[in-house]
Amino acid sequence: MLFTVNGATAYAYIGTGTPAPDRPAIVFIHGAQNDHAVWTAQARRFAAQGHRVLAVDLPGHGRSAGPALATVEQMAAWLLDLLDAAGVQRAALAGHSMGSLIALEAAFQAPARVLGLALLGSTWPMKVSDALLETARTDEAAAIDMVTLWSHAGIAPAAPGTPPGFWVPGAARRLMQRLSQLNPAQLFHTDFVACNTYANGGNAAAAVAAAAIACPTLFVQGRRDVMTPPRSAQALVAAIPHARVASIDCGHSLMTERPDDVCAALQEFVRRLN
Amino acid sequence: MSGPNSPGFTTLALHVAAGAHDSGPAVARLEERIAALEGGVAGIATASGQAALHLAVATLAGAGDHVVAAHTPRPDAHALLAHGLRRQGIATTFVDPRDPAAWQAAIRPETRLFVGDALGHAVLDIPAVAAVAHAHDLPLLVDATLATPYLLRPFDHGADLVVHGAGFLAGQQGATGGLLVDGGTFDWHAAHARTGRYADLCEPDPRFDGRVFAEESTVGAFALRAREAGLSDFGAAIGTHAAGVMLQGLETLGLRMDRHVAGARLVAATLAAHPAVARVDYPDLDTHPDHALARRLLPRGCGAVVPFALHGGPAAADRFLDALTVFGRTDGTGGARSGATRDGADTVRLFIGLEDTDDLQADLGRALKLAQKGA
Repeated sequence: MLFTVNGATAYAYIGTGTPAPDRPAIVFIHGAQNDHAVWTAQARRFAAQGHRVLAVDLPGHGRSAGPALATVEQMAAWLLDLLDAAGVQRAALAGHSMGSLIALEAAFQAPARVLGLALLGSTWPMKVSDALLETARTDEAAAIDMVTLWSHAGIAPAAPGTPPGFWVPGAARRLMQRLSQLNPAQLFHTDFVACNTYANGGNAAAAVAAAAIACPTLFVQGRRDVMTPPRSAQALVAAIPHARVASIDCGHSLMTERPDDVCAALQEFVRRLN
Repeated sequence: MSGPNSPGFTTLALHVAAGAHDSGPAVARLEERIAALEGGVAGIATASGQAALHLAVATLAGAGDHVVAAHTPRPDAHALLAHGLRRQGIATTFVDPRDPAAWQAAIRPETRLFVGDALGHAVLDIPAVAAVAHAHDLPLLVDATLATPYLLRPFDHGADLVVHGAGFLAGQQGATGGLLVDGGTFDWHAAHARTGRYADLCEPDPRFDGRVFAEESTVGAFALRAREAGLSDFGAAIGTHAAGVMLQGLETLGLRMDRHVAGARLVAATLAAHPAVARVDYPDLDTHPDHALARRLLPRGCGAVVPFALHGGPAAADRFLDALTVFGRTDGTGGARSGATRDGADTVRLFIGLEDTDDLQADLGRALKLAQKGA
């Protein structure tokens, strides 16, 4: 569905289903060089169960008009504007990788609007290696191949993909290539810099921690994630003492590598919000 | 292979990548593995190569729509496009695959896709034909049965969809099954926005509760719809056993193709030098018009099928075929046993199997001599 946010076209996948008034709305936020489609398995299921669902394309990604925003703070402010445009007062936010920082920052900027936070493949500070940053700047196609490799537990997955017949790493790679094609303006580098320079994570985590009752928090980690290793997230997890941690045997692309396990973790989390 | 630069990819054609799952339903594993071998996003296994081609066309085109195809496909594929699908209201214009202007001239508002065979009498100039297709918001489907993912990477050169028959992948002449692979390269959403051609992929589908496949998957909308609609409608699904046979065959694909190609090269060179032979249509020969193109697209070789023409017309071709003893008289390809069939009036089509090449050469030499003697 298309919205207008700050005068520009913004897209969010809404699934099919009839929203039930008692079910919380859920907003899904993708990571660097991705779009809403990484969340399809989860968004579709929640929509079918009567949740209002918005799986957004960030500006400059997929179907949302560019240019890409340069900081996590701007992306979070944009997300809140999108909620206004969609008429969503309060929602649970589920973010992946860069999207998890956006969710965290949105909870800092507008705590009253966030029902809960699900942070997948998250860490803070989210340092991006100099080598990867430089490759993203000079050779985006090569950066895409590197990230494809590093974002999956194996290039030949250990279990059949979902939907049937899909080769998950290959689909991830093509998606990133498509985003390059749609937005040739160094999107990957812009996103990586936003991750790398996001400085407000500590404050945001402290604010979420202070609002423990108001903002239930869930971390979903891939045990074999080398992009945001669970070990690197220890400080962030510790900063939000009430947060629960779910751990899944997969890499960084949790939602596509293990769609059913991620669904189950999110459903359990959302049930408790009520 | 055409995937990311990783250790697993350089050997996927020869071996199964380390860590690949070897349990679970064979069909799903096969579909995923062919997608990986091709460097695409998703595979769909079907009952035959014909079923894969039919599924691809039926997913994109309906009554009143139109296909542009190379005039050189396998006889079965030609029949499906020229007759079977025409009865369903899908018209096909056949063009000279070597002439990009002919592809372009055949496009109509109701055209939905281009179809070409990678390898046959001609080598399909995938980059050139794909450029014409993409300039007109059309996808290019390549039948890569004779090339296999080991010899050709269609998606790297611009193809959007690929179909395979089971023969070479299974390594058995009689193997049943086919595969359809979505490369994830074609932007259905953008093409539909400009042309309105792909409503089934890009607009809410009442049949599926208003689902929009191009929203659910940015790069795999075709594969989603082909499976959810076409595969379930037409029912041309593969059996578990046939899928298992193909999976097993894939593990030795590279070894077998190298051997097929070595034999075919030898045979083609021998034929080309033989006085009884008028013409050899094997692109590996530097006299073939597609030789330079073949070098570029098919660096590992031009497959196992060698068509050639004999001096002396149909009668000589008949005498030649009758004299063969090692080559069987079958048009099946992909297995270990060589075969020879008529392919037009004075043309013979050889399929080079995995036998000792000395035996094959001796058989051909003897049969050629007998073919000449009767003249």
